[in-house]
Amino acid sequence: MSSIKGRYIGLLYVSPWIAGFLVFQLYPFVMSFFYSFTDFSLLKPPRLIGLKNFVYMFTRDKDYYQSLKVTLIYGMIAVPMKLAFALLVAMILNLKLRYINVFRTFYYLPSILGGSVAIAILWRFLFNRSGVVNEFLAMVHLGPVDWLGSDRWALFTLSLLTVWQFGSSMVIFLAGLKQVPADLYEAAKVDGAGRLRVFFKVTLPLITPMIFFNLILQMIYALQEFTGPYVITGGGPLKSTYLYALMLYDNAFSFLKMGYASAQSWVLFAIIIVFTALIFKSSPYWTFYQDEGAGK
Amino acid sequence: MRRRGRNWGSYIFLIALGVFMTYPLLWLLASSFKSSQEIFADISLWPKHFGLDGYINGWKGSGQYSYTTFFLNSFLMVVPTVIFTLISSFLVAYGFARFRFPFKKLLFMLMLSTLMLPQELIIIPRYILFRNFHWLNSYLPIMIPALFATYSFFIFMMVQFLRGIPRELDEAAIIDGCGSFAILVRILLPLSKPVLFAATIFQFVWRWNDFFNVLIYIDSVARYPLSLALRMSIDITETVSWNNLLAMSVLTLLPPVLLFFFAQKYFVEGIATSGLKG
Amino acid sequence: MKKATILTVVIALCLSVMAYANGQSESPSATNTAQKQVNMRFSWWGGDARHKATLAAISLYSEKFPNVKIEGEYGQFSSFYQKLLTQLSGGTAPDIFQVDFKWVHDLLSQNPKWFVNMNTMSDKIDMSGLDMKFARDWGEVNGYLIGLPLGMNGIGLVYNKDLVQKAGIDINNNWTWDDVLAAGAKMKKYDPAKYALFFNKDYFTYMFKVQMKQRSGYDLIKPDYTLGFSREDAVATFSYIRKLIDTGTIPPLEETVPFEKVYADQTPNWLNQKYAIFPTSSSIIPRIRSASQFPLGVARYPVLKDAKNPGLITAPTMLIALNASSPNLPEATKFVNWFLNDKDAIMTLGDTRGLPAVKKAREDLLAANKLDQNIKDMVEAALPFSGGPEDAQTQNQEVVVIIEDYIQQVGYGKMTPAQAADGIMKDLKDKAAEMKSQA
Repeated sequence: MSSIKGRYIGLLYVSPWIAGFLVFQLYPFVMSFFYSFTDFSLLKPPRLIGLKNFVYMFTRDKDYYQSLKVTLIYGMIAVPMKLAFALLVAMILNLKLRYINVFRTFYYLPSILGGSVAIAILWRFLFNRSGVVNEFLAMVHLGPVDWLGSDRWALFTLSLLTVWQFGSSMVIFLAGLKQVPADLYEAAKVDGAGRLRVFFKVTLPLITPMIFFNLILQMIYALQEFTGPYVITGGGPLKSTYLYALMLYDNAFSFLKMGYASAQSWVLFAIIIVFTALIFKSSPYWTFYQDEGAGK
Repeated sequence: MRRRGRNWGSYIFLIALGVFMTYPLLWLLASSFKSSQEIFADISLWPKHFGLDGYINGWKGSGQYSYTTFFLNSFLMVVPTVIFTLISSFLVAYGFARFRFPFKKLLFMLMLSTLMLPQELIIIPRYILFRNFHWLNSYLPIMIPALFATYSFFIFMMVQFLRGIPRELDEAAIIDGCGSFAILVRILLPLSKPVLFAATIFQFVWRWNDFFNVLIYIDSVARYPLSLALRMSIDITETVSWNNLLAMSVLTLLPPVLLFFFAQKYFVEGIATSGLKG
Repeated sequence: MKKATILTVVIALCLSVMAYANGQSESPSATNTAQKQVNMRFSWWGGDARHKATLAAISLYSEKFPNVKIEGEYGQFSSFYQKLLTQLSGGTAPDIFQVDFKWVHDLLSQNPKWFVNMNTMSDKIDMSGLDMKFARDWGEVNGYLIGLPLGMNGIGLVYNKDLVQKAGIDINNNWTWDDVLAAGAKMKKYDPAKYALFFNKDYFTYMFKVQMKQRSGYDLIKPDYTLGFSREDAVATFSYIRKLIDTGTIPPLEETVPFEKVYADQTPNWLNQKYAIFPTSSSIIPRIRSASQFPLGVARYPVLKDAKNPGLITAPTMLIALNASSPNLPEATKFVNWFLNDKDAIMTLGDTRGLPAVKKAREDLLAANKLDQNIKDMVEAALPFSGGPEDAQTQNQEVVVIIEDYIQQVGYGKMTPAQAADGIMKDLKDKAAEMKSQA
């Protein structure tokens, strides 16, 4: 476990980021922190107002808790669904089958679409009352479900969009799966382990670093999700998809309350930090790194 | 031979799911051959009047510049950004993954925390920063931060990956007299192909699609990348030529799709075959 | 071999970076005032037709004044405001830009100093062809006129001629809100699966504002920051919305909300002739016309029986504004004057910004047969019933969101009209107090 050379060589490698952080990121960070204590409309210089933004947020803004609530629910639905789905598909796409590269490409396609303008049109077509999804449901005598039109379903429908764009998580899992040494599989086979057993005893532990990574990143992204509600639902119906980032955007660029939006974004920052810290603290119990030697 | 039967199951699953996953994209493709009027009135996949108008007229853009310009712009902006990101992030990730140094944990958390503040909110101070650098209306606000590893996602991803490579390899190299940079280049770099290609794909796709940053930084239509060009003519009051728009959306998808198709073998046929662990 | 490749890539990158850095210095913002050569920027939102017409007008201007180069910065509407705000905040806004009347109050009440007060420009820009009362009604706050209207917009009804006829609905320019319900009943009789009317989000909000003004005679928030309506007015309007849904005059919100951000041209049930009438504004007509495969008609917007104020919204399609800190202000002013009044400009621009606000432009285009009859009819039907200017406070974007919210609460049956009336009164009072404290 000894470092290669002196204590400062690592710093040397990290230095590009340190420089980049100081030049490009520190100033925006500090400024947005400062804005959160001001009344700032973008058109006038910011004016310090102490904690008023935070007081207003927690005591008088009736949209705030609704938005926070749906954002947390969204995170709880979308992240596990997406990760489980991505891992499942990655396992299958990792098989040595013919034309598997074509399948991989097809499965990655939705992720390439991103927030394209076509997405909004597509989603409306698929999920409106007389849309394609309901036509399929009607064939098995179900529905119709108001996927986007009812406040009970809209948030779930948005989560489906995230799950549909599972490609990047899948790629990370695929890269991780390739790190699992082939001889471990062989050894497990020699021991006569079944497929499921191999998965839980060999594969899963060895890709925990990638699960850890995906979990943290997807959590961060889910709590900041903007594109889906922005292009598809606009936050409705009945504010059931009024995710936090959409509220921030409205406050900053529609209502000209940049100071207030900054305050809200720092609260979100704190929430994400707490979640991240929890995942980090729990990680020694379930994450396995090869660089720490074999086994636990 | 037991394998054969199982493969059939896998294929059926793959195809069924594939149809489900790509139905919307097939719709997009089909609609790009429809007339504008047909797109919203008829949801069927097969165009009644098959036409290439969308592609021919769409390519011309809305006046001054054609999509040739916009495609070139996108490449000019995205390719350097991707290369810068790979180089800088890999160096920094190596530093975090393999060395001990003062304040390492703090710096790492700081690095991660830059991902946690919603981008929409720091866009104003960043805009003012780049204005003071006189970088507005150019791709520098996208490219230069990449040179300084400020896309933290990739550092974190590479750190996680490097931690999956056993240290015994490094130590063996030290015994052979390799310096830290030689270890990075000769030992870790070849082993890191999967993650490097994954990073290439992600950064390419994300920068390719990025709308809000370029919206703010680029003023001249002559420098619009595709993401701006595609939304250039969407207005509340005016007729939108949806078939042009969808046709160009399809073409815009092609470079990332081709990149993925040809790059994937590197992250799936990566190191597993090289008999890593003895 | 490999090293050579890497070297090539690095050199190529350096070169491209330098190319960008160089490109920057020749950008139009770096104006050279020493010579007569003037480089200006003009930003607008729009679709292809407007882009093409405006670019053509610009190149026409450059032919006349070869020393003036104008770079058009154009894009979509929905992100235009964010970009403009960022540019204003950074002091990098174009010399000339479009402004939507919905932003006027928010922009001017925050800080007027970014914009040239058009009231002071009457000697440099010929405003004789404009209805200046109309311009001030919508573009002015506290004597500060942010820009000049380019086009005129009025609300009205667009309908599917075939379907209205088949259902036996007599649509005309004298409709009251009761006639709307009667049309709903006729449509149900003709075909229970079809609906007489439908709204998207924007026009539902308009409908609420208009009907409230017809009931009370005032805008929702008056200039003295008190509410312009009584509880009864709000209850009656929310009850009317409830009735629209309960009688099947409009579809249930569950069906239309997925399409609430788009217009009739993207609503399949309109295109497939299941909805007959779309209350909208005249500027939307071109896109509906090009998408609909059936003949369209237009009619005046409904007015309440015994309305205290006819209440119809007639507003500019957009305003053209000058950047007060532009180094090219004299040249930019000259261009705006030309853009509004010059015959060649008028003929080149046509009606790509709606029915032109300048009288002479309307006449010229009419003579040249370049005006859309439906647009003209709708605006002309609305003008005599105009509700006058909307008080700036009511245009505040948060007020709009509050209205949208309560319409949905009632539409989804989550609140009774009475509950919604109490709720909206409380929210609007709070918002008005907040605006008052900032004024």
